[in-house]
Amino acid sequence: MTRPRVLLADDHVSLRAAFAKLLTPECDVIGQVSDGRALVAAAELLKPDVLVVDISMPILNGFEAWRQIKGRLPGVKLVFLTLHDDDDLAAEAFRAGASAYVIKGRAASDLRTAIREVWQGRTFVTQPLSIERD
Amino acid sequence: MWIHVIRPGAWSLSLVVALSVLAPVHASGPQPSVLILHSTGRDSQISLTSERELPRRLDRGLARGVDYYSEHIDAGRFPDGAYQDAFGDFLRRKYGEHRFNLVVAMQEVAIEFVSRNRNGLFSSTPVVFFTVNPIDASMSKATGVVAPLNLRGTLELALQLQPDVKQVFVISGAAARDKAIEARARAQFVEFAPRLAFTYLSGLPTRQLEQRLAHLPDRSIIYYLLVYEDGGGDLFQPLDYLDRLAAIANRPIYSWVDSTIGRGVVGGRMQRVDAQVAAVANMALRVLNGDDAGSIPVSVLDLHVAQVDWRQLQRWRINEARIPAGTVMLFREPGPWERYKLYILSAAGLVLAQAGLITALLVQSARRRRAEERVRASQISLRASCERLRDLGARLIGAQEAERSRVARELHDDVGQQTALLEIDLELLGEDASRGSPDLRRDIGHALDRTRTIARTVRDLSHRLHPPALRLIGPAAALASLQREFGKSNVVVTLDHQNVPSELLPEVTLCVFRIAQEALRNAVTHGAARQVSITLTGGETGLTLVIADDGVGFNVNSPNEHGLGLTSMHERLEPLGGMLKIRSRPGAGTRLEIVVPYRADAERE
Repeated sequence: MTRPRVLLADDHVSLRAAFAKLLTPECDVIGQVSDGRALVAAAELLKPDVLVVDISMPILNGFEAWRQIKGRLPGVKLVFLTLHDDDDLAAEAFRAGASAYVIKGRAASDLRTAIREVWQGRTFVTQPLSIERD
Repeated sequence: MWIHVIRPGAWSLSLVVALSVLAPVHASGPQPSVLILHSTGRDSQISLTSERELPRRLDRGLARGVDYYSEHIDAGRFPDGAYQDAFGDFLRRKYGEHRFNLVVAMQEVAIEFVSRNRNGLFSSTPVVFFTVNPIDASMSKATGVVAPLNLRGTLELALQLQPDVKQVFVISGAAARDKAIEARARAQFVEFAPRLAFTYLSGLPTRQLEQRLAHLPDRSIIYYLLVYEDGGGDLFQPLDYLDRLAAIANRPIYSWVDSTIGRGVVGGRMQRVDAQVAAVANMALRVLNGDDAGSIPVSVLDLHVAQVDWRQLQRWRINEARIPAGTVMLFREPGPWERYKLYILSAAGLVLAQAGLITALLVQSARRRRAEERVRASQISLRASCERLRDLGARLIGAQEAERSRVARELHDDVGQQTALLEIDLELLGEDASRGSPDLRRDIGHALDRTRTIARTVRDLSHRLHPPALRLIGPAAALASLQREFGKSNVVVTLDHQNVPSELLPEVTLCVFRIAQEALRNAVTHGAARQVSITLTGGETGLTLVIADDGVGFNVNSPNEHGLGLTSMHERLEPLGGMLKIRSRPGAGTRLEIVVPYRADAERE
């Protein structure tokens, strides 16, 4: 099974590094960017298989950047990696075309799983997202 | 007794004999009978006054009153000697055996008549006479009053009133008695020469006289003596004749005759007819009360009184200050002040009161104007304050939101990321330690739990301060989170949104969200609503948010109900150019509608 080529976007450098480290055993992290606009440029250039994207980013946020990329890279998968433990945001993310919604705090356990699921054409949401709210 | 013969010139110094009215005698004899014989006709002034005054005075002075008779010889009209004889016969027939207690003879003709008939008709009857002329006849059992005629007094008065007069026009008639008076006047006026020039207009035809009088020179006066008959042979009543002359004369007229006053003359020193009659009455009473007529001395009296007609003074512009003391002023008309004193005072009072009122009104109006200016100034400053306050409010909201947003982002971007990193590290550490001691694994698990608790707390805090959905996914999703939040209580919240643009200005989204949040809080907390519907619709130029509940509602017009909630809604909407409509009635729920333009500028244009 081929390793997915992953483009990582997060303005928080140390977190991004941690994510890259987490992913390295299973994926090729082909690029790391710090804002939405750089993400759009890098995605067009590198044509990754999976985008791991933070929602809150400078210049263009994750949603905005995704709207621009989506049309240009038809097969690309999107994994939102965010601090926002929010149902609406999660729902909105899936409406926008994301394949996974991962809470950053659970990255150690969930990120690789999410990539695997997505890579096999499924979706993933950090659990128990809604239970926690109640 | 012998009657004194009084010579002209001695009169003015004659003694005035004081006469006392004697008390009526309580006689028990018959009522005294008195005949008065007038020289003049019934219409002469002395005759009229005598007939009125004499019987009254005699009646009053006699215990039993008087039996009074009067006869008029009227010598002016009937000067013929034969007539007087016939008149004597007439009286003899008329009175027959009637005995008079007293005969009063008024003036010369009557005195002469009595004197002639002393032996027949009036034998032994006492006589009281009155004359203005010296008497040169003697009569027994007679006494009387002599009031010598002074024609100069009038001229003296005229010179006092008009010192610049140089010429006197003396008017007299053609009748015998007119001429007699004129002769006396000429004699008396001699002493005024050469100070005064005298022109005697005597016995002229009336028309000619009138022409003269209408064109008299300056500094002249007219002295009216008497006119019983003019040069044309016409007979006149002298006062009526005076009326004609006064109507055309161009200079002031003076006279010596008492009754001329009031008929166009300025005045004169005149014998008062009533004083003449009073003197005669006193004398008659003495005789009737028992005194012997023959032993009562004749009284020589000066009965002249200076009199002026005030109206004539005005007409000829004669200074009132020149009037000598003791002058009787007649016909004085009250001046405007005397006549209208009350009106003038009232009018002046009224004018003063009115002026006072007007002043008061002006003062009040000025005061009110100043007060209005002050009010206007304070209104302006109040409005400015209000604007500042509103601006301040808007800025406060802006600052609050900015600060909340900043803190929320700090929490999210810094603390949130750090904790996330810590979580990842701890989890990885846990994996590494999976082959280690159970205690280590347990400790790492605890640390991870604690870290996640911190992460959740920080996240919740950040969300409350500023929902991330607002920034990231727009108002519809933010409203959905509100729906979920309030739906947890016993309220059914429905949300409907249509045509909401995906890209909105953050402040528009924030405004919609905050107002919806406030409205929901009001509906649940104050309104006790059980159902709330939220409708968000995107229009061409702006968003419309409608929130309706079935709560208790409130009175929109009551200022107390405009709590901080509504005020802050207005403050949020205002900088964006939005508007707010609230429909509510106590017990009928509340419907709140806001419209927020996408761009404040566009809406304003």
